Amino acid sequence: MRKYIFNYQTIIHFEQRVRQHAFLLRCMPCVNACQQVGRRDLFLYPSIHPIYGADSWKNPIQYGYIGPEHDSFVFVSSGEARLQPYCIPLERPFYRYLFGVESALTVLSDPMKDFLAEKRGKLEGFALAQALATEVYATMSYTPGSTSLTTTASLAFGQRQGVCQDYAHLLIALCRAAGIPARYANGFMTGLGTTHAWVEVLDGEVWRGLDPTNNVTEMEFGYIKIAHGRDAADCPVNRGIFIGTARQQTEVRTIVEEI
Amino acid sequence: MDKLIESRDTVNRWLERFGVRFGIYKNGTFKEQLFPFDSIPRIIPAQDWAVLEKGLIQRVNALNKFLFDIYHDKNIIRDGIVPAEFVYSSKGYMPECEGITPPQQIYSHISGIDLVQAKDGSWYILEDNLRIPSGASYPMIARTITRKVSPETFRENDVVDSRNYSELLKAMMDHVNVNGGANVILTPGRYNSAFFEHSYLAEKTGALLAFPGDLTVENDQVVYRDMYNERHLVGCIYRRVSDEYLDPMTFEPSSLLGVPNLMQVYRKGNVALVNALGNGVADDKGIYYFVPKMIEYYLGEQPILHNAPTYLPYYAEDYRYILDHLEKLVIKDVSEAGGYGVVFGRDLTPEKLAELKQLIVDEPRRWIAQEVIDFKDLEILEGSERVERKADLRAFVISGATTEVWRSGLTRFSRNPDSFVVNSSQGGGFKDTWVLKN
Repeated sequence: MRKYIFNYQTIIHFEQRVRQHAFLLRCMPCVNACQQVGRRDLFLYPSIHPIYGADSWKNPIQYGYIGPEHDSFVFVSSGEARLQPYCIPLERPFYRYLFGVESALTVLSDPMKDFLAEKRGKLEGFALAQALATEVYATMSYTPGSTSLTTTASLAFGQRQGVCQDYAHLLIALCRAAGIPARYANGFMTGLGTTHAWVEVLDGEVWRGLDPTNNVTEMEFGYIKIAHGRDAADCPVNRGIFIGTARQQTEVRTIVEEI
Repeated sequence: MDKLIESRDTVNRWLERFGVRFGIYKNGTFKEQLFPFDSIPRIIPAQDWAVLEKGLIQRVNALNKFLFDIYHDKNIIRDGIVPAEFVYSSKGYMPECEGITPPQQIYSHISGIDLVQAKDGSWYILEDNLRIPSGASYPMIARTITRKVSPETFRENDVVDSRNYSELLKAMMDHVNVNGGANVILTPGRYNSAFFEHSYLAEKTGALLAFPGDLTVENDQVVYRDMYNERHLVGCIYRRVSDEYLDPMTFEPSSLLGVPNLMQVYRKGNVALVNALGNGVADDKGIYYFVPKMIEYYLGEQPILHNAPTYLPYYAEDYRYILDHLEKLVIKDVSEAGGYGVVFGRDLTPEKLAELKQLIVDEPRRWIAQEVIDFKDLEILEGSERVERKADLRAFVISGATTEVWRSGLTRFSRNPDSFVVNSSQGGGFKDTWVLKN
């Protein structure tokens, strides 16, 4: 077991004051067989008590409503996580189907199909998923700003550019096409940075982690998970809706350190 | 009854004055149309109705059990009655609803079941509508008007009084209301095709008519703000907004028609939604095939009402039959509604037929095929002449403390003599539906 402290903050500055602001956050680590959470805190500004719940994937969520006008929105999630080597038992049998079929952001295009046919060789199952993670790493170039939150796997693959979300979508699409259930995971990585996205693939009865962005094919420690879903659309860190102009500036910072 | 039939134009004028319209979007523009009323009623004798009523209650009870099962234990899949891929690849299946138990375990509070009568008098189920079936308001107001225009018709004929639909609706909403707060009808607004219905039902049931923005989630409760900015706790929302627009925090993020974080309040059981979310998995045209099996599986009963003979290309035997007999079948796209995506094989040129075949070969899960039923035509007045036209019947089934069928329904007919499609969005008209007492 290894222990980590984490601190994740997002500061949103609105150009003009906004009001009637409803928000839904996924910014606190989840609890599963390989991840326990000790102390954890959520600080919000404007100061209100968030309501805690879980979405249909059992990811922890924090939501609320700020009626009065405000010019910024800040959330800081911090605490302590204890990790075991990355391995999560399959939660419910039908997840095999749900994470085995295409989702909106992971639709397989013909070039992706060809890419899979060319690279799959005689490998199967988890070994194939590992090989595909390395292939995704090798074929894509990491280019911040080249894609958006709603970029599909096929679009990112077409331009051979993207960020961790696109790497993850591409690997998920390839795995699903090869008959391996796969899902999107996001959270924090050790070090100083922003949030990170990776992939969980089903190996028999357990989910194992693969990080195609960093060519990690045997994930053990250093990944604190917040949420998983069919693709990124299932686990946004922050969704909000408010009245006011949408012009805003966002600063995000994550610090994770092993202790 | 002749007096009533002669007064068709009067009834239509009244309907126009009351603003009984529906809107359609065609080529990007919104147009409101009157829904033409035909004064010759569809008459259903008491003994026929008794069978229909029993069969509809049975069907809706089984569908409600199916929905509960799908979003909880999934026994029907485990026992091999419905293949897993039919459920999970259905557009109507919503993983977001997994594990949510709606108040009183009711999913389909208002079910609109479409039936047709064949020439031999037997009834067939055409489709189930378990999401937001519309149309009850038209026969409601038509009955109210026809009773005024020709009161003697209803003295001389033994017709069941159908003016209780709003009472059925209100009793159901009160039954599922979680906290004694207000009942609300949530409309997408003035430019929705069924806005007349939303406002009419709100008036008749005493519910608040809420527009987008009137409802907010505060402290895990839904709150309605009135015109004085007073807050009212809400216990039940009869929402006329589709699932995917209902909560921008969970579904379509750009939706302004919904209530942010409504899904979380619903998940915690702090508000009832009528109908429940995720019902699309049970009224999918592909799942329709399995409804008779559901009735046997959940209720241990034989289905009283029959499906139109249906083939699923998913099964090898049906697949071959469909490809061999395409020219005499009607083909439906499982994801479409409102009369769209329905193709009659006999209307197609050989090239189009070949194209359709290829589509079925490419995506067998997307299509179902049905035998064309020889509808019993109903008489309508065209000018002053009686002519026969295709018609169907949408029966409304209300599930609250008990499951009840409204003793009337929406009879729609095609005004075009060659058309089998009766949907109002495709230019059809409607009639009153009389259920006789004896």
